[in-house]
Amino acid sequence: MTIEDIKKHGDIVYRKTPLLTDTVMHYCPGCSHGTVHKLIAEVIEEMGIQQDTIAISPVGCSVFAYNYLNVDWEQAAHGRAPALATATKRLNPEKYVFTYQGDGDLASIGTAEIIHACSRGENIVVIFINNGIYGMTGGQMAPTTLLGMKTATTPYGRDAKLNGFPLVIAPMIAQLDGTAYITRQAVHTAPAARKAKAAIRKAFEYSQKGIGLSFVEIVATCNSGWKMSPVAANKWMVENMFPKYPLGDIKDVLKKE
Amino acid sequence: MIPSGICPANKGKTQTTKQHNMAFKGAIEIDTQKCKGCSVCIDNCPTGSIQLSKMVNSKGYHYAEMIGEACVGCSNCGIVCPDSVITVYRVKI
Repeated sequence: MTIEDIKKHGDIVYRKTPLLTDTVMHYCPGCSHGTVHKLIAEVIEEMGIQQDTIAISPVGCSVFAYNYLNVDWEQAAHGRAPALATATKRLNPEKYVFTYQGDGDLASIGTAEIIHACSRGENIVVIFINNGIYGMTGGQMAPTTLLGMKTATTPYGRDAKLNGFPLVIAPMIAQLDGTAYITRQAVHTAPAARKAKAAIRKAFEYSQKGIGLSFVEIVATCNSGWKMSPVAANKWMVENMFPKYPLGDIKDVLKKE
Repeated sequence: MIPSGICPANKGKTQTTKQHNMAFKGAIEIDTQKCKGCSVCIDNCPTGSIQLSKMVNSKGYHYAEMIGEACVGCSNCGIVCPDSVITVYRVKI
């Protein structure tokens, strides 16, 4: 059987979901943003909630996410996506509302918004892309940058005395009673991406149960900011990011002991 | 690299159930104009069926292309592709 025959007679087992528009993404080659966009689109397609989803885009590389996912979007000021999502969800309680934020957006300028949205227990989904760097503005240090990591503003590596320690958001908000589901995933390999997709789906389902905020952190790469090839960046992430940001569920209020 | 037609999920395991004895052949189709040649699919392919082409697309990227007939249609390449340019086909044999 030739390749052409397989294409002619075989079943399509994987294809680009129609929820993603045909626009070519502006992201650098190998950027994790594209993979996460796709996973969210697939979850929305599988749940059949395209008409009922309202997304909030952040400031950062993913500010143009509204060009790529074919759902309703709002664009928030830097870091204010959880505040906008709060209003949107309270006015439209039957809609699925999610924010998509990077680490510069959520962990730095938007720390107050995310902590208080978690504390209030808003029934929204927060997708948090943690790549330890400000990607869009040229690779400056972010709060989540690892100790010793070289960035444009820490050319000799992040020094705890001068720059402080990395901010680990997920366990911090897990203490708050308003959160329902907190998990940390990655998308560097196919098994990891499938797990991340399952986690995103769970977060969307939890958001309609009225039990609080669902938070999915994706440990991601910024190969341009890290000055590596995409494959090398994935390897570097496994070796250096995962010890500080280990994968797995951190909190799940509905999980039976 | 594993032999063609063996389910990658079965690698190194004893084949017991009928389901797992089933062999697949797969093929992928790549939207070469949208591919940015990041090589993440090549890194994730269990059968070594993808390589970067010598040609470039209109944006100057060496796009991914399928090689050989070892593909089993596991769709690993499709799910990790950041630009969603891969369509995966599969037939049972």
